[in-house]
Amino acid sequence: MLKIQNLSKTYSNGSIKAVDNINFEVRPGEIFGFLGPNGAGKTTTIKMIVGLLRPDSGKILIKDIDNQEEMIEAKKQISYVPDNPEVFEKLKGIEYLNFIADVYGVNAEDRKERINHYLEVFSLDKAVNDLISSYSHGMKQKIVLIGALIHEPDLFILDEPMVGLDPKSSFNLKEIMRKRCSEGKSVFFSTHVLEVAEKLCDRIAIINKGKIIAQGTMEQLRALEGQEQSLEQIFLELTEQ
Amino acid sequence: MREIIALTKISLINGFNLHGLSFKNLKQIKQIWKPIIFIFVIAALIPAYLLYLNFLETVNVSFIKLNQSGYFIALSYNVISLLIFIFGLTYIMAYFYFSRETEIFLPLPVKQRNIVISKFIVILVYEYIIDFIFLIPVFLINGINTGANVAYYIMSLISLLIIPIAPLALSAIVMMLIMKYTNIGGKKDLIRVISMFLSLFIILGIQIIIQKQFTNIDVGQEDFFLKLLTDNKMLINKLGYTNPLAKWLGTSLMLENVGSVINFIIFILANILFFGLFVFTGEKVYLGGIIGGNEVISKKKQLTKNEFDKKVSKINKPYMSIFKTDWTILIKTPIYLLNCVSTVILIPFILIIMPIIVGDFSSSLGALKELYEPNIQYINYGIAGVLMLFGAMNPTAVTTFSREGRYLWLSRIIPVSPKDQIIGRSLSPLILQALLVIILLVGINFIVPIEVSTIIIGGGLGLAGSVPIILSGILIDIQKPKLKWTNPQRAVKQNLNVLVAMAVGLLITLILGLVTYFMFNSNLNYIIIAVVNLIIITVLSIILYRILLTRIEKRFVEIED
Repeated sequence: MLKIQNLSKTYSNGSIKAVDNINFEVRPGEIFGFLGPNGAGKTTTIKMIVGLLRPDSGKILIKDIDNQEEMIEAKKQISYVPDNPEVFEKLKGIEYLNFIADVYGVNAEDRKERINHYLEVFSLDKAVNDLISSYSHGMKQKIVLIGALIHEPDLFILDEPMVGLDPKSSFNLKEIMRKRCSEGKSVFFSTHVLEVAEKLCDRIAIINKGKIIAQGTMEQLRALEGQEQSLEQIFLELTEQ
Repeated sequence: MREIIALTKISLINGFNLHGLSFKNLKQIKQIWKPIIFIFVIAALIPAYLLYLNFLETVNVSFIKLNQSGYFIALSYNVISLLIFIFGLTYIMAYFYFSRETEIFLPLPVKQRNIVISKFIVILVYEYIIDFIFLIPVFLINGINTGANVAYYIMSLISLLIIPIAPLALSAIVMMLIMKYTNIGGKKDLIRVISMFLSLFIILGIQIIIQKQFTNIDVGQEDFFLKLLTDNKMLINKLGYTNPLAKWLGTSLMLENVGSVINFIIFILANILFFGLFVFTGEKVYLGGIIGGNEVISKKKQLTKNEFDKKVSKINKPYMSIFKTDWTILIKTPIYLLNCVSTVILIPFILIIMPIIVGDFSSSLGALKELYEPNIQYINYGIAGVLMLFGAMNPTAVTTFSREGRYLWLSRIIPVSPKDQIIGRSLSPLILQALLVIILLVGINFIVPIEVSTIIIGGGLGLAGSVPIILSGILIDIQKPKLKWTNPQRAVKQNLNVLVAMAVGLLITLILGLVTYFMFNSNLNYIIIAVVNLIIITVLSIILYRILLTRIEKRFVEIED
């Protein structure tokens, strides 16, 4: 579903390596967690995948589509939820959702059904006809989430998705992720909440100072350290090395 | 005082991005372009500025010959103070109420009064930059032509610092009252914008009425010119009915006697009084307008099945969706509405309706008709040129990406082709230009009934000619959009792209104007001239469109680098 090959990104004329020759793969039907300390390169990697940054070198293949060569086609396969949900505050929620549905080419029947469904799941049905500027941070997060889901992307990319969500919405989002994967779609997300990653992810990659320092299933990561440990302990040991 | 200085210092550093202007930043190759572009823009505007200086010289000499030298300063003050007042309304609204700085200042243990004073000073500094460019030549030209002494120049310098205070204070008072007493209900933004327009029209209306009542000069009267030549304050006194400050300033700089000095002191005191009123009003009403002022009412009313079905059934093509979103944000954001949309109404109002109301057109109508009919071909192209220039001055196209600010990430990740982005983003400025064309032509028609050729050539070319100007505006903005702003005013006003686009639009208009001129000189049929113009416009538009197709795709990925 997603292949990252020798991906690199530098800043300040090459003096700062934000992402240094990383490789990983997200398979169909899998939830892939991307972990790392602050400034490790998680958001930079995600931004390159969704087309917000140009890599200095390497390839990003989304369903075998090179996102540098066929940008529009690649974008149709994915959706993205940033860590900070800044969206048009002068639009009503329903206007925003219609806008997203229009640009992703969702037909009338599907959009009605999906918008209705997700509004109920995230308890936004009463607020959808209000201006987004009247929403709380969590509500903005939810409207962006719904927008990212209504075109049923094959690859769902999220940056720190649990931040700002209430417990019920967090739970519902996890359920949505699991359901999507059972349908053969994939989820790729970054998080600091290691317990969530541990419980939810099929595979995990840990990035530190621009390099992938470990990746695999929980069992494989535990095997690296040679003992039964929580993800938190593994993470701390690996990133402190 | 310490608080005022501290707040003002922070606001000036933040508002003018003073750290960004440091030489260290310019050493980076990528940043070198900024001063280069700035110099280019200034250079492009020099011819227009020279024309302005020439105009001032001509008018000043005329007034001196009519023994009305003081009227030159008074009239200049009247015009500039009106412009400061009109534009001040949007600056005050943006900076006092929609700036993120305000959210930072309000919780601090500082007096409300000191917050408003520091904000006023920041806008004043910004006004000085603009006003000095236009006012220094006024005082210099008048001083040189009247052989003024040192005292005149000292008083002129003081006047330059004082001039923006009263009109800006009045803007601030009006805006603070509007924001306080329209802090109601769900349609706050709409009510405020309407109130602003109403205040503007009321104040302009009062000026017009007073001017008509007290300045009824029958130029045909035999003793009119005699009065002019014998009473050197005739015009200045009449102006004083509508703008007493203009009269005090104008008479003081004539430096005739002690009365001039007294008038100068009165002028200064009047400005201090306005400032005092502003501070008093600010203390009483500023917080009331701002706390809760940016809150948005949410009705939390669930849509019925029918309402929901209606809202989601309509499918739009991507370019239409881009346009609808752009237009909604333009209309619903007061700053954008005022800076981008309102000019479509204000320009025809100032150019056509005001002179109709103020002036006595009954005797001039015949002369205008005599001018129009035999010169219709030239006038048609002149109207097209004027419309294109106004199109170049409208910031809608050149701020299409800047206005999205921190939301631009969304436009960059959605699977919308550059073609749809271009079409979607061109529609708003095109509609505004079409509105301007219609309003202006309808307005002109009231003065002189226009012919079909004026509509087709003047209006048609004026609209068609705006297409390359719009496309060049979009191209300029995608090169370096201004995205990191805390105040939406900075996206449309304090944005160098707007100046660059104006210069480019001026260039396009000039080129077409020159080509038209040469074709007229070659005695080409005016329809052929129109066709040639249309071909040039079409070719230019296609070139710009093709460049934009690749630039948008490239820049969307590069922007954050």
